Amino acid sequence: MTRVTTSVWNDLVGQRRATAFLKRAAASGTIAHAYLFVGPTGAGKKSAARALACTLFCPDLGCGSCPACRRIHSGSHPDFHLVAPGGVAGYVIEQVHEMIRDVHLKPIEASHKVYVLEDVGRFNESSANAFLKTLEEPPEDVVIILLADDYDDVLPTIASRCQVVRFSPVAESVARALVVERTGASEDEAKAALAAAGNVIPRAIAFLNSAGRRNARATIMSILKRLTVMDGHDVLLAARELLTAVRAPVEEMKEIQAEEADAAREYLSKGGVTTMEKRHKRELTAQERDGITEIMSVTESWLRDCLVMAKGMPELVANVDTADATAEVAAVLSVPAALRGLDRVRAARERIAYNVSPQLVVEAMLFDIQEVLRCPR
Amino acid sequence: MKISIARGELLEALSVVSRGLSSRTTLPILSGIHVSTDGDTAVFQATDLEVSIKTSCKARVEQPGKSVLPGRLLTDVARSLPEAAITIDTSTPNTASVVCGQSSFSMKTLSPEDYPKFPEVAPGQETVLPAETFSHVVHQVSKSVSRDETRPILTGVLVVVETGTLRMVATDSYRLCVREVPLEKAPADIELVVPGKAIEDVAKLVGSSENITLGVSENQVIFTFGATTFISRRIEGSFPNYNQLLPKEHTTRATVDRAELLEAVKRVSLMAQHNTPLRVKVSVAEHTMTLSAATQDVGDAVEDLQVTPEGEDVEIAFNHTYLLDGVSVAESDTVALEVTSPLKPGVIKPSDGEDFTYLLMPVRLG
Repeated sequence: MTRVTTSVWNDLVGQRRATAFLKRAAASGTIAHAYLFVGPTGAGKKSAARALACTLFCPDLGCGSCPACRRIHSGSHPDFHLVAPGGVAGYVIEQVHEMIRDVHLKPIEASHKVYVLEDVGRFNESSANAFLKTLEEPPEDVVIILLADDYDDVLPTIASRCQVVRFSPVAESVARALVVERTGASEDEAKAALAAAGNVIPRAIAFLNSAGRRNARATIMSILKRLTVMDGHDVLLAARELLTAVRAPVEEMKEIQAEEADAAREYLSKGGVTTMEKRHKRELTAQERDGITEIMSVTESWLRDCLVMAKGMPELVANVDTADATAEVAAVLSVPAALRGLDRVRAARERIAYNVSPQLVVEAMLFDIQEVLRCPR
Repeated sequence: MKISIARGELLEALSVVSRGLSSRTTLPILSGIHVSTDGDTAVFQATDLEVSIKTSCKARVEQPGKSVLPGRLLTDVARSLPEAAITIDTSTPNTASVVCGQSSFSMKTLSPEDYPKFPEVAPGQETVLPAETFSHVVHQVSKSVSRDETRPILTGVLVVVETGTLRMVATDSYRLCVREVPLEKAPADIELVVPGKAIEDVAKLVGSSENITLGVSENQVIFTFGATTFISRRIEGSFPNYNQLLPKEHTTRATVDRAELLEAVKRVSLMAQHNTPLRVKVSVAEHTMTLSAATQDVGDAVEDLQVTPEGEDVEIAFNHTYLLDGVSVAESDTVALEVTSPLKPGVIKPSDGEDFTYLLMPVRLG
């Protein structure tokens, strides 16, 4: 038995049980044909899937620095496929057929083919049915890794065909230390970034590197501070300002996409261009949605700060930079009122998930929170 | 890089590698053709990550180098130019100039460093076949290859070389085509499944070459002919055992002129719309085969053919397209239709003893 003592697994902080299990399977050559990685966002499921692929492809069982490992991480390895839902609502059947086609061809250069499917809660019945047979008995050299936030979201027909690996949430302090180490930001900045990014480490790092997203956070913070003294018209203006701030990174992305499209158009066939345009549109929608979700996370963490302040535990405050404003609110805020506020944000999140127009959702959320803050008992 | 190539040779090389250009890709690099120099030849490559094609032609190399040019555009330009030497010059960064006589074009190029490496595979097994026989047999069986991705192995053609014969088998589970030909020189034995589209492309490209080499490695199949190397990924899985499907005996056998049958099936099929079956009735006493088709609210068609029957009267129905495909590739002057019962598959065979079998599932009579 070969021992796996390598670095691709080191990126996974705080998942000793899951990684030990996967390492053992890889080392003893008893990799299952399909895994379902279940754990909250930010637990490191995708990194674990990459690490497992490295272990399979790399001659040194995942050294992290050979060409195979590097290409898996840069997304250019021809036998490593990272698949995201292709439609607005989830996985589409054409996408599944495309994947099945590739599953049944021999690998290009590695000994295995690895397919990582994100967010498998978003399989609908028909796309899942098309996929079941392949999931149940793929060719021997195929490993399918499904990622999901919540076991109950996954269709039972899919879940029952996989070996389930559970990932626990990463402790905030561990995540913070990693963000500080990677970006060189201060402890407080890292804390705030993690709060905004819903505790997802890579997303928090990206947040710290994006001026547009930090600006969107500053905007919502200043709005929350002034919210109680605003009239109806001011709130509507604030919502508009907020959306402009959220869309700034989207605009940046649009420009990058336009450049890519111009360069590609000379080469690609019509079919290729259409596929690319569809992908671009999807990316924009996802980016905007992420921006809105980020604002909600910030709002939530702000309300939570008020709550912990009111309870006299200022060391738990996530957003140290706005502590003066939260302290003011905390002085008068009751626990039920804070919970009511958090409830309103959760409702807003749900509305976004149901495809309600972002502008309406943000406006309604701001009015709701204003009401909570005005009668904080 | 600066090279000059005769227009005819350039166009031929380009049309060969063009088959490897991907039409669906969103990666610009895959819609380019990689051009490089090797001594006094120009080497062309294209790939869609499923097949990779490489070919070369004589060129006057003034300055060696490599570049990636837009595939379709370059082919169109070469096609439209008059018969003369074409010069390709990539000395300006990111631009290629294509000059021929008074015409000159300039087009954007991509970085050859980004181009996928041509797979270097060492075939484990190899065999050499006469190219003409190979492409002929491919033409006969390839119509029966499945287009349905749900059973991937059936989208391939089984190629077997053993004891001096070449056998190819294709099926889409509605019909099965087996063709076996003897070879003059007994080549090395081999057995492999080649993706249908790849083998069809190779059969079209093999054209003027005399021989074709088939090689197989763990993950790839390799065809080499003339100056061209064609590599395709293999399909996972093993081909179904088709021998047990072939009926050992029959109760009715009707021998008929193939050209007549082909024409008759084509005519009667006009009335077999919306997948209605084409009925075949063999009357032994009257020495006739009656083809008929009827589509409700449209009309019907009947045609009698004179046949040499053996055995019992029978009435069976087939999908007209599948029947037509079988009759059209059988190739002998007369063919025999062998039937056991209306619910068991029918077989089309050449009556001159050529080793060709086309098995066809019947359609239930209403």
